[in-house]
Amino acid sequence: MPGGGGGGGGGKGMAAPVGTEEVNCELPRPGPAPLRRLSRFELNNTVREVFGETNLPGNYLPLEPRSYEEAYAVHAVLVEQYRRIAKEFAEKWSKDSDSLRTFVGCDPSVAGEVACKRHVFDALLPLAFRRPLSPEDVAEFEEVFALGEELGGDFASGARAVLEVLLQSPEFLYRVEVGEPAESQASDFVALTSYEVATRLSYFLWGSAPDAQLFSAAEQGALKNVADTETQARRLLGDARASEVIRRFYERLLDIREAPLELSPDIPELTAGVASDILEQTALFVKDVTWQGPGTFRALMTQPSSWVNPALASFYGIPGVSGEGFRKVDLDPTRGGGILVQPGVMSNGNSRSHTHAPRRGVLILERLLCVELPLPPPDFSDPEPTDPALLALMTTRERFEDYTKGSECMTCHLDMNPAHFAFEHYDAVGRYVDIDNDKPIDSSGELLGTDARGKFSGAAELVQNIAESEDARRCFVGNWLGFAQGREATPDDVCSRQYLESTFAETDGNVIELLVALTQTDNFRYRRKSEVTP
Amino acid sequence: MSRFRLNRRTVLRGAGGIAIALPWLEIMAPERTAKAAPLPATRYISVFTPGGTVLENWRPTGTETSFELSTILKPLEPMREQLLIVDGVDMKSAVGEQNQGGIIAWLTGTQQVDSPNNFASGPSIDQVLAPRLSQGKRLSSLEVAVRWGTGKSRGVPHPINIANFADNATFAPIAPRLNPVTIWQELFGGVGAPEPTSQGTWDKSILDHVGRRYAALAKRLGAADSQRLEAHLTHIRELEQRVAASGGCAPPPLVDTSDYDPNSGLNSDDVGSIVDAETDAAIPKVGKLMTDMLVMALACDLTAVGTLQWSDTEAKHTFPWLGLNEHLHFYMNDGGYRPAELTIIFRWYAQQHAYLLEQLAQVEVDGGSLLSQSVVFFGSQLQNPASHAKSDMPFLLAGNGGGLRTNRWLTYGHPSHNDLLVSILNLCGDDRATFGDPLYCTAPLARLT
Repeated sequence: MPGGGGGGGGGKGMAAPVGTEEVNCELPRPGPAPLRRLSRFELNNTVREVFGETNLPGNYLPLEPRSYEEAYAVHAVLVEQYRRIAKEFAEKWSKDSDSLRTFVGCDPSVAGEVACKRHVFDALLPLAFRRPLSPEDVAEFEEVFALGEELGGDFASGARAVLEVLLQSPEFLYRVEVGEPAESQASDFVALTSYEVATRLSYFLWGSAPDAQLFSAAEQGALKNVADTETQARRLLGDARASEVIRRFYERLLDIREAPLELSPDIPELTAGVASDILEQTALFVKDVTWQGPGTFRALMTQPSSWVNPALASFYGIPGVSGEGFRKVDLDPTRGGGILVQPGVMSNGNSRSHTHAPRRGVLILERLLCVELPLPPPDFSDPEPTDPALLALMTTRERFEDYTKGSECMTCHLDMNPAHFAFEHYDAVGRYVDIDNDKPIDSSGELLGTDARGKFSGAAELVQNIAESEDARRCFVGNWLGFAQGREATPDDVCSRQYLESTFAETDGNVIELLVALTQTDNFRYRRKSEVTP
Repeated sequence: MSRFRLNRRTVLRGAGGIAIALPWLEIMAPERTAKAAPLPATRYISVFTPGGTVLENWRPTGTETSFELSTILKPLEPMREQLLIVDGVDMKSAVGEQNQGGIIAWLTGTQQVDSPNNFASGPSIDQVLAPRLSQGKRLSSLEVAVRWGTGKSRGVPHPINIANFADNATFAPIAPRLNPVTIWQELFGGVGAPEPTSQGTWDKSILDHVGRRYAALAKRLGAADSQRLEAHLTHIRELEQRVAASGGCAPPPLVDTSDYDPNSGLNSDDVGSIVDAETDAAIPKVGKLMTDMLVMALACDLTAVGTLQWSDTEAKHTFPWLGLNEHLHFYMNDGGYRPAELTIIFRWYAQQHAYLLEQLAQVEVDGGSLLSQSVVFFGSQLQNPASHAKSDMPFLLAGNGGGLRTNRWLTYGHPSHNDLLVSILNLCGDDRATFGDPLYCTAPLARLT
């Protein structure tokens, strides 16, 4: 079992290498933890958790870029939209007695204004801020309440003013972490408070604010040790909300797009239903492979199964599927399996009826093997175009090989190209085909870098190699660590990472155990003192 | 081939560049849609001025989009971008007594019932729009008048001075409010009236508190976290400045109007021989206050529909601030037609109208100014002061509500003004095809949007 209950998941007593240096992981040694703002998804979940609001204020916000750093950047439109959200929802929630009862949790015409105001200060604000109020908070919100009451002339206006400020407050929109006071002057870390750990747990595993149970665990200081944290983590993982977060991890990792597949006149049998169902299909695969059976990285990469409804089954030529809804079907293992061959991944980034082979290759190299791909040189110029008449006769693979055949290109593409072509049997919408442009498809190659290197005859062998690759597993752990931290993994994560990698190995690459282990790490439970010192 | 290269580099660079642009495109999308199908006007204002115009000094020269404002309309030059001159429309449904039939038909498109001395046979457009536009607001509509009830009407509601008629079975005449002090008190804090929620003060205070929270928290965090909050705070401060600059809702100063008798009309006689010099001299000051209160009633969301009447149809009061010591009807025909004096008076009305439009334009509301979301209809009971003719009415529209396309001089071939009333209703989201007496309805006016 991971964690083991003792002194944190830093890999107690072990030494971890950073470059050539040995690093002491005896004491907590957390990596950086930049201040995080709630994402659209998290904001939606948070207003549902705290106010019972099922409308989606996050949808007022701009779509988030993939890069963590860019996603957290603040710009004018964002701040304006926060204000708009605050105004609209504060007004809605305080409109009348019914609204106050539903969203604020107290009807002043029944419970009385004094009791309702106490409810706002004692229950609602702490839940929204994910911590008890400080005396300064109370003083400030008393002032806000009085202001609203004065301008609007009634209790509801006071509540509205409080809500409007609350919804724009940094304690609500950001996940503020100041930590407990440092144990000693000399230590360079601080432990997160129980409330901060509760907040990390709930946003990591649910994408939402702590529920009442977690909040009260924090109140009782029951999140101080790794065992308590593990108990709560396992509870949260047992809830459907965790599946939603895990789904988002893979969608981000593999650029599984939010919009359905673009319909193409070249493929008339691709209906709008099929185009949107493939997202659900990938999500169901992920859920199944995570929670049923071994739940391992190997299964994720190789399990030859998918989920289809009759429309998808008929589109992908899977026989014997009728009736309503999705069911699990077995795929031909010789064609490859796992998440990569799911149509939601295979169809991604393709232009109409042609596959975007390099894009698939990039997913494998960059996202699954953490290979840093160089950019084309700054003075790069397009090669001389090949005669269109010749191009018209080529397969996708041949066209791309032709395009990158120049010696300048080949310095990098010699390494990169093989990964691009392993999935050429999967066409632009993820159907398995044997012919491309009237020629038989060649999906064989040889991966050169990493420990997944070696010859492969096609997707089946390549995913098998990735599933067993230590580099791929390390990369996977790093991706999850980054996801949990809201930043890319860095060499400073060394102690947490070492613990995660050993746990991952001990559990045969079990994904759920990896998530539990993440909550046990130094990274998860501590911050660097230098980061919290004003 | 270059397209291929772009794709590849995009993939290689991950989110760089392109991903920054995407959210912005996304956020712009609803606005583009809004432009394709303009939103209905959310506010409507009628402005009545007595006595028509001096057409040759009113009509612009030039073309629809490139025109020169005439003497009378010249004061509206600063607001021409929000102005639409609607020329060549006839008030054909104005059947009845000369002045009475005119003011009754102006907003109702109906004729006077068994003229004279009876009222309209249908509701006025403002009252039709009030439930739609003012839903949930304190007042369904606000009618105010300056130096009203002169001459024959003797200070009381009379077909010669009423422009607004209820949307009920009797089309009851609605008398405008006259006393600036009681209007101010009722709207902005009189005894017994609930304190209005002053949106400007509210918004500013909320943002101020929000800003304070960021500033206070930023001080307690480490450098990197603090920087993120400081960046956020910068944008909040910008918002704050914009809210403060926008004016928003702020009750207008209640200037001293003790020299103005709002009920001076009670003392009038039919021919306008009794002069209340002190009250007449206060007209510009009171008119400005009435305008300010109307604008702020809209800005403070107390109502979305208003009417401002500059006197009644006769305006049997003097214009001492213009050096004109006879009353309007004297210059119209009682003293013989006096186009020079009338031009001065009508130009002054245009100037007051420009002030109203300016004030509306200065109030920022979500997605634009009050004026950009309004339709303002400026008219009179007749066109020709001497003959009382009602063809070629001197109508003006202003604002961009409903997608009204302004900064133009539109000339028409004498449609009935009922068609214009239908268009105004349509601009405000009421999609009926006829209004008033259907006999005078053909189709909504073309080319307005």
